[in-house]
Amino acid sequence: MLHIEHFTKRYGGKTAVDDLSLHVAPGELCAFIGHNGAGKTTTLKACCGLLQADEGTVTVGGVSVKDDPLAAKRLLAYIPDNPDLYEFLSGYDFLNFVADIYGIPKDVRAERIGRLGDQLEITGALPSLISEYSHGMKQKVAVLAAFLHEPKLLLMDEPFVGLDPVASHQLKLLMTEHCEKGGAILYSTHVLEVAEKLCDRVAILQNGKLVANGTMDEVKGDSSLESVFLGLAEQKEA
Amino acid sequence: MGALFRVQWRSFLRRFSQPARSQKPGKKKKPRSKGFVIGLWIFLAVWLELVLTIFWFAMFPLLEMGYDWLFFSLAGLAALALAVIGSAFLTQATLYDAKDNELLLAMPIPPWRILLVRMLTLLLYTLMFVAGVLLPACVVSVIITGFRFWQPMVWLLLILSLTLFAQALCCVLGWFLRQLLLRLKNKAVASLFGMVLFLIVYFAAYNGMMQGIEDIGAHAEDLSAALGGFAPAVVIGRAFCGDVLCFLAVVLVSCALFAAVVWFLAKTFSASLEPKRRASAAKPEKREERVRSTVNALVRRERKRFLRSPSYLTNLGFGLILLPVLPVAALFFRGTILGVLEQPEVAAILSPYIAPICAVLLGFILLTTPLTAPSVSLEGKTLWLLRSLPVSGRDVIRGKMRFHLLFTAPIAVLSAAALALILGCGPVDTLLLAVFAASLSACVGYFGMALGLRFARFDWTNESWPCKQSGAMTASILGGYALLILLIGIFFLLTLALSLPVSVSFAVCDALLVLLAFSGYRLVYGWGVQTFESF
Repeated sequence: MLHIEHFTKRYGGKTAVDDLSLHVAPGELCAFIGHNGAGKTTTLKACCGLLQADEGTVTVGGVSVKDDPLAAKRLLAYIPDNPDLYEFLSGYDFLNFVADIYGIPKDVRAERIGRLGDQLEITGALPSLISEYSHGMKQKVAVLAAFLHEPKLLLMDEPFVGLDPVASHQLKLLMTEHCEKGGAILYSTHVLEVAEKLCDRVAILQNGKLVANGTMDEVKGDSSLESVFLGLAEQKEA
Repeated sequence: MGALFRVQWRSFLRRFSQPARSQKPGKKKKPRSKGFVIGLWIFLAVWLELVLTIFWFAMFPLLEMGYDWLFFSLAGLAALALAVIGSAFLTQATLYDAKDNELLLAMPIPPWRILLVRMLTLLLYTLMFVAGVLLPACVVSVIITGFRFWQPMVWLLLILSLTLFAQALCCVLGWFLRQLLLRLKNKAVASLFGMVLFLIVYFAAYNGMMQGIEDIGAHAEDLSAALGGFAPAVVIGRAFCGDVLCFLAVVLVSCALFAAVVWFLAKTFSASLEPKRRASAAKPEKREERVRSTVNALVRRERKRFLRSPSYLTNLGFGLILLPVLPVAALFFRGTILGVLEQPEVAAILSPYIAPICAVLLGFILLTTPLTAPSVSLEGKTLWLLRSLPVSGRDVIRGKMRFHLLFTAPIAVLSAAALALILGCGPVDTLLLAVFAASLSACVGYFGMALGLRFARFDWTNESWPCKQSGAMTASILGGYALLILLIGIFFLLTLALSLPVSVSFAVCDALLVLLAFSGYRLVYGWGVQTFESF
């Protein structure tokens, strides 16, 4: 579903991501792990066309993000680490705006907004303006908007930040269901315990370079994901 | 305090230095033509100072008759009024709408320091208004009554004191406005109506003042008696004339008032940032939504932003209210206007020019409504949404343009047609006036859009920057006025120098506007789309 081939991104003289190749197949839930500034957000943004690659290619469902960005964006949804939404719209207005952009029929959108809104416990607040929402409520609306058009690929940048325990649990269920239906997810996180339980693949990024990539069992073996990550960090320092 | 001030000052200077067209980290920004924006500001300042110098020269009989204090009373009150009108809304936005308020309040910084630092940049704006009015008055006074050695220092201290006084008034008004806005559902519409009310009061006062200064020499005694009973006016006037006690009173009262207001605002700062309406209070409701096309969804988004953003609506929506006021006022005063126009000596000169005069009046109002100019910058931190959704740059621009045209063109065309009918213009003139209104509306939209793209910035901390102070807004409004003056020149060249009939000259101006609108269309949908997609 997602094919990143030799992706390199530089900011001025600094190489943020260096020759990264990563594939996420349909049905896979891939955790993207790395220290702060490792290049995770840069990679996720490049996958949805927010940043252009200096070298390499990114394709979503066989569509090049660079050559046909609109077709690629129709297949994916992106949730940033800090969801700045339109504060002048109500939750309903925002979700309907997203639904209009993706051309979701009236009945389908009503059913999905109702179901997902109830699941994330946000339905009651949807008539209010987003400017009146807390960070967690905005995050819930961003999650709801991302699932609204049932994308084939979900790109999520630390999606659990700001969510209450119930919403976090519901999001995990949604992510699992999405992958069971054949969707793919690449999500960045610093909560290694959750990644270990939830994901079937893991990719570890260090200073812009991919240092580990594979199924969870291949990467961590008998030890924990945390000890593998810390071990890699120590190797790098040495 | 020093660190806070440096951050605020850098933010203030950045408004005039970089276009910050890209949010992308590491992307090299072009060094920017500060010259253009600075040039516009200098042009505006020089023009205003000339106008004000002429205004104060009209009042020189007061100085000759020995009413120096009255002259300076009027100047001082005018300066305070202008400063309060110019800065009250900005003060509210700068103090309370800044996005880093919570960040700073969470740090071990006393609120009064945060407020004081924010006020330092506000004080510069207020000083601009106060000094802008008082300096020409001082120059006129020196020319008429001569120079005295103490004047520069005393006047400078008085101007600075009155700046503090005006800023304190702005802060009090800003505080009241904030309390009101916290309790209102639709802050934007309430702000717009508040502003309209404010300006009605202002123009009524201004009209009264202008009538009062007509033949000022004859009215000097009445004016002196009227203002003589108002102690602050007398004290300000006498302070400028060298009365030591009054000078001390102005300086001390201004400083004390400013300090008291800062203390009060600091005490109430945290409470004033707390929303009084919570999302959880909303009642769940099921709404039937229509399915819209991409462009219509974008138009709806623009409309909601416009109607729910106090800065956007008050700064750009005011002209939309004034446009229909013009035919309503014409209807109200129809008898008087037609009576004047029917006088033979007036009719001979003005009758053929009624439609072009209406066009100029409509034009000056319409030029204050470039809804597209702040629109790109207003995307701010939400730009990621448009860039991650499957929406083309062309559709985004179409959405913004369609919103501008839907909001301005029908009102402008209907107002133009109504004005023409009320003033008895023929069908040809009515049609020409309507075409003028439609094509000028399109020009304002397209060139506002182009300037909005050229001067786009996404890192503002409150919405008043893109809506009021941005290079796009300044260039759009001043450029529009320059275009209108050019069109007036072309019209008179054709009518008077080439002796073309008025309707033909008007039609030529219309044709030029249509051509300009077409080139604006080409510019925006070519370069504009590319520029938007590069953000």
